Amino acid sequence: MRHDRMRNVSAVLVLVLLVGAWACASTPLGKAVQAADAQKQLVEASADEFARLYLNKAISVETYRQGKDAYQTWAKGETALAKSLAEWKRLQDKDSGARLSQALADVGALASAYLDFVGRFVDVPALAKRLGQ
Amino acid sequence: MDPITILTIGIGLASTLLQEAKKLGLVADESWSKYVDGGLHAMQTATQIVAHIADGSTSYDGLTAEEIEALLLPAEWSASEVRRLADEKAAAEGV
Repeated sequence: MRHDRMRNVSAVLVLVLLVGAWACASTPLGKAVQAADAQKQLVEASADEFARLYLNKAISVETYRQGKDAYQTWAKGETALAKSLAEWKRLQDKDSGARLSQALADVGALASAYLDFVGRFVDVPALAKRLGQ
Repeated sequence: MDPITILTIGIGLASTLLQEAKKLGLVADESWSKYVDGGLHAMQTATQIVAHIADGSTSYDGLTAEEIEALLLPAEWSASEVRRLADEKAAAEGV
């Protein structure tokens, strides 16, 4: 009786671990959307931290303006990515795939440029950890 | 939260409940079957929670085109309160 129950417990444990592993799986499009969402959250959270530094007089107004400009440049690329991903989801043809690839490359570069700049003042890795990334 | 953490919390909770039940005289020390039942129940609950999280994780796969666009469109700089305040400060500084 006790052994049967222990076997049941072990079975549930295995099931929990299997479900945990399954939680990591997703389609390429799902992964792309998830990655883009994570990147967006990091950029927006770091922008808040950056603005907070300016309010606390830790950075100059010129630096604040540069960070804001970098964010707005990234935002244009992110908007293009959002539209490209949505278009590819709808059409899934060669042309929309090419546009999506270009948008992914562009927004990756823009996000890197923005995070490189803001990362001089904001602890981006710590922020990413706080966001669970 | 990862599955192991959930499992640990679930088992910890079951142990705490068991200890409380023992204090109240509801469970005898040798009553292993009730202990195992408690652990089993905690793990089943953990499984349900993990399955729920898994649904959330894979929900990215099931988004419609409109939902993807809405999710990924960036916020305006001044959409955030702290950034709006920073903009006001920058404007006050005449930049």
